[in-house]
Amino acid sequence: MSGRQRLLLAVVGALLFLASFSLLFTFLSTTAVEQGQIVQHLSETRAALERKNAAMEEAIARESAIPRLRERARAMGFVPGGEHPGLPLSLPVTLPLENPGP
Amino acid sequence: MRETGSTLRLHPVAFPPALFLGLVVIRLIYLTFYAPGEPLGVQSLELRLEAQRGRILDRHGAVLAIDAPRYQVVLEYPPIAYGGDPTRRAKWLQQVDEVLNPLLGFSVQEAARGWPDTGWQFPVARGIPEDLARVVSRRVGETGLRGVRVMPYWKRVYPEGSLLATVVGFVFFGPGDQGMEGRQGAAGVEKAYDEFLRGKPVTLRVPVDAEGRPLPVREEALTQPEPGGEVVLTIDRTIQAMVAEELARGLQESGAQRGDAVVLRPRTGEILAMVSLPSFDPNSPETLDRDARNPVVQDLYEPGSVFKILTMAAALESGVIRPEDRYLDQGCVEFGGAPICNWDRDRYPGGRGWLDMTELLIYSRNVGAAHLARLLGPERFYAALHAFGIGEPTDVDLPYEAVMRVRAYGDPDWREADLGRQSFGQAVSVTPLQMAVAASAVANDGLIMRPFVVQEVRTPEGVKRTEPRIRRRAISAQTARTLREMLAAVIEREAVKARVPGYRMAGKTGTAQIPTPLGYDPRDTIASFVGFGPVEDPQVLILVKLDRPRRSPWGSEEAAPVFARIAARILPLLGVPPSSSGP
Repeated sequence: MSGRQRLLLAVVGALLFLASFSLLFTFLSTTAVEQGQIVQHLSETRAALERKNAAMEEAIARESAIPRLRERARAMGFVPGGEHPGLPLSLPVTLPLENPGP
Repeated sequence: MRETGSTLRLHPVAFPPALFLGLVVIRLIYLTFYAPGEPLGVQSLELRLEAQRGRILDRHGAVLAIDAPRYQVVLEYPPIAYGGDPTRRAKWLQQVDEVLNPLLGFSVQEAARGWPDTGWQFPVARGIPEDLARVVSRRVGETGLRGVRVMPYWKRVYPEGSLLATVVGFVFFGPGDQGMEGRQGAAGVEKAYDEFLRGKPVTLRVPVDAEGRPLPVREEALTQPEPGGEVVLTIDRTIQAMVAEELARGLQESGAQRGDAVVLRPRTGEILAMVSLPSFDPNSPETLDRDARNPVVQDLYEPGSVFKILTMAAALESGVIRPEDRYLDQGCVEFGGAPICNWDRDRYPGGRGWLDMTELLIYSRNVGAAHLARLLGPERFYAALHAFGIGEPTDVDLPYEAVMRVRAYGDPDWREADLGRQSFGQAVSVTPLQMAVAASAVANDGLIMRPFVVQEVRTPEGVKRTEPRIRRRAISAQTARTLREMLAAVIEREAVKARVPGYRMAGKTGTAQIPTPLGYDPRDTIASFVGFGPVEDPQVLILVKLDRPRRSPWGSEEAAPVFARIAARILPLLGVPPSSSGP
């Protein structure tokens, strides 16, 4: 092998080395970016789910708040115990005398 | 050697490119190792991510305060991107208006009038619901509009509205202790437990792309704020609602301007309810003016005749009288050069004659209280007030507790007449809570507990419970039991409107004059009642206070029925069995 061929081989070898290194670098970089995007997406999804959860908790708290419960009870016909005149008995009741006379 | 040397010699023509390459290499080394956050001169953005504030719950887990998501539309106009040219910004704002106006329903150009030229962010719409936020976001994406960002944020929500406003408090946006801007607790539990509730916000300095979006090039960019801890109160919102309802009824029927009520467990110091009416709505920041406070803790008043409980306790404890001892009630007496008269001197100008100590309380004799103060003498009297915690904070876990010094024996401004007046609750100021805590010693066999509203704090580090703490012994258990029976007689024989069906209760009425710069107000009073029960094993203590009632000035007429209605509703709810000897 002549000196020129050896030089060519060395250049090709160097180029191949550089190309494979570049490919590896590109692959690793792309993977890192992809992983970063996945992690960020997951992080955003988690944050969104936490917001949804908080929104649901808020809705439940609002619906079960005392002013709201009172309003709904009124709408359903309930009244506070003290305001009701009492339920009538459906049948006339005759009470026995406590001390019946002779 | 000569040949090698000649190949290494740099040709003059190659010098500029070599210098350029050298500078590039130096810059790359700098960017890689010394300024990794600012690659290739990309702009960076400082983001402060607010932590979700912790919830506040009542003792049964009902939500009293919660952070809920809301959305805002933020306009971004980085001067560097638009050359700082106002006409270019105006043109851009017009484009933004054309897209957003139909969705938001208002002129974005008008709304952005207050946007300073130097500011590069401006929230143009806040508090928009999630569905609208999605529509805006999608539309902005479709039109390719630059500089419009839809961002979530946390809003503090109080589902119970005004019901617990004075206890829970509220937050405001502003600089905190460390100078960082953010939401801070301003009142109530929000203020007192701010360090647990606020969580840990995150401040990031992240590079942004050409559109101003943060780039995920650093691990820190993914850091999330740490949510705040949860605070569980001793307050029972059902009892709170009942107390608020009865107090509102009391205000309406009596025509009083305002009122306060507090319910606590004398055995532990747990506060079950704390109500002041009228209240404020913490969900409406515009209503949070100077009235957004907690009068039960922050407002002082002269308690009037309920204070006779303490005078009688001091006299019994020191042994200067026994319950069966009698004194001659003559209607008026002179004390330290000032006259002291009974409240019913018009009806009984010569007094009620010989009365025992129970009758002194039953008929609420000012002259009798002054008689006890004279028997005690100033040193023992003021020592007793100190033992009951009068003139000092209760150490309740709420902010801004008010305290007024008691003008006492030995002070340069003290006069003997003060002793006489203080014996029946004049010339001494307390908060409703301080009065309730002092009276609770009688219900708790003489022990004064530290009152508290937070029973548990839950953080990632663990759960911290508040244990009941004895502050001091005010009187002996024997004196407390004796006084309980005397106070039970007050309800059984005179203050009949304070009777609670099925339960034997004890208590004392109070009708206090209101001090003004020109002397006592001749017309208005503060009507109050403090009571507890059942007498045989006191489970709750209730204090009711009505300011300036119109229908009747007397505590026995206006405050006593409110006390009775509250007790009648909450005792069964707390599972307290009826008294075997109750009415």
